[in-house]
Amino acid sequence: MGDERKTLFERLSPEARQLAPVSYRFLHASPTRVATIMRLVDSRPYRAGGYVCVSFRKPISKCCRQDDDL
Amino acid sequence: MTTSEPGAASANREPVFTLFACCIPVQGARRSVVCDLQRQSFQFIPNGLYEILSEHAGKTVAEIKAIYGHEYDEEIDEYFAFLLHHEFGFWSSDPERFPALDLAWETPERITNAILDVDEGSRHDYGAILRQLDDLGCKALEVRCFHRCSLRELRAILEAARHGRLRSIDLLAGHGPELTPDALEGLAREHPRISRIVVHSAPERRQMPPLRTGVTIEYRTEVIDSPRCCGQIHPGYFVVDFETFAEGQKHNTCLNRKLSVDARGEIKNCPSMTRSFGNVREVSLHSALAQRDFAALWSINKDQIAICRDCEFRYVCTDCRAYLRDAADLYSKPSKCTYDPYTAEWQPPADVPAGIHTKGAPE
Repeated sequence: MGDERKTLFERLSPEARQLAPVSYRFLHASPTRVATIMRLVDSRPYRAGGYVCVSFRKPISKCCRQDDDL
Repeated sequence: MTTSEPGAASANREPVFTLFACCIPVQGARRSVVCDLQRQSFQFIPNGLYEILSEHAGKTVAEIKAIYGHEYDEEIDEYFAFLLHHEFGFWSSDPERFPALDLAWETPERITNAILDVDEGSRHDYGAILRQLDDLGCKALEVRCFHRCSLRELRAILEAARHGRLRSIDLLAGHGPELTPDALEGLAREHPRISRIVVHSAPERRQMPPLRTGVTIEYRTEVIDSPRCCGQIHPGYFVVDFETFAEGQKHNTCLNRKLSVDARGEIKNCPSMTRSFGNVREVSLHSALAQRDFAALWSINKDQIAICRDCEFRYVCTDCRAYLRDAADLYSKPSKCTYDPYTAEWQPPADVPAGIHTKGAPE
């Protein structure tokens, strides 16, 4: 039960966490591959979370002014 | 491979530049953008490059350079280097293998998102409202408490949503001594549907690091004490994703499939609007939704709105139909938008919009 509650990313082995998602591996041929792969690896926890529960991305209301200093 | 198979004839074909299907150029009056719907970002491009990507799609570089009389060869090479650098596309001898995305937007939910306003005088039956929203398939709710809130009040609202189908709850609450970061973190742990908490009227601005679950907690000094504060248009409210981009082609990205209950219980498209479809104590949300005019504003898309139709942000902007530059014209630009697509500049707001005050600001 406890294992099921973890996010997909947490269930990956440390080695697997370093891997780029399979669908992006074709980018190894790209001149910007290193930056791309690292960005994808960095964002993996976020995307892995996204596979589990899709959040509603649109703002429902818009009461806050633009942040200048955050 | 037989000659009838796709790609068989492509071996001898000059490669052409093909945008990834999720990278979609949008033209504005002065400049354009390429929206990367997968990475949720955009980059500005000159309108000349937009023309190459749209009118001359499928042509080789040599053909494109020839079309412009070899006057802009260097710029054209730079354009394609830019597109490759940002990974917006690739060279392909078989571009027909990569069709455009279908931008048709459909959803099974009768209502996708809802606003519930609360103030000191509200007498909402949260259980009844949440049950009805659940029946309508609502998946996202924003609760806006305009007054100083206690944890007990917030818990009462959240308890009503505990067993429903909602997937996300945004909370906007007035600052009170009980709303400490620790208390709000605890609340977010108790109610995993919470995705964002904003505390307004706080003595100082604070942005807490996102929780492990992705929940963000933010303290803001702005006083958000009524629906009049809503309708802000700025890049912070742009959403660059497939769902919003597709919805924006034919629908209003703010009001489509939205239902609101204002602080007095009036059922509206948006709490800032005057038109009520009945009070939630007397009329069910289903009956309000069934009224002929309820969905009338849902289909006002950005391509129909003056000025917005010339804006490169039109499919990532989440619009506002409550506060308009011309109150008599439903198709006029949002009054709180300071972007001018004809100069490509954001103007500083002329004054502080009604309903917004900053603590400590001079009169």
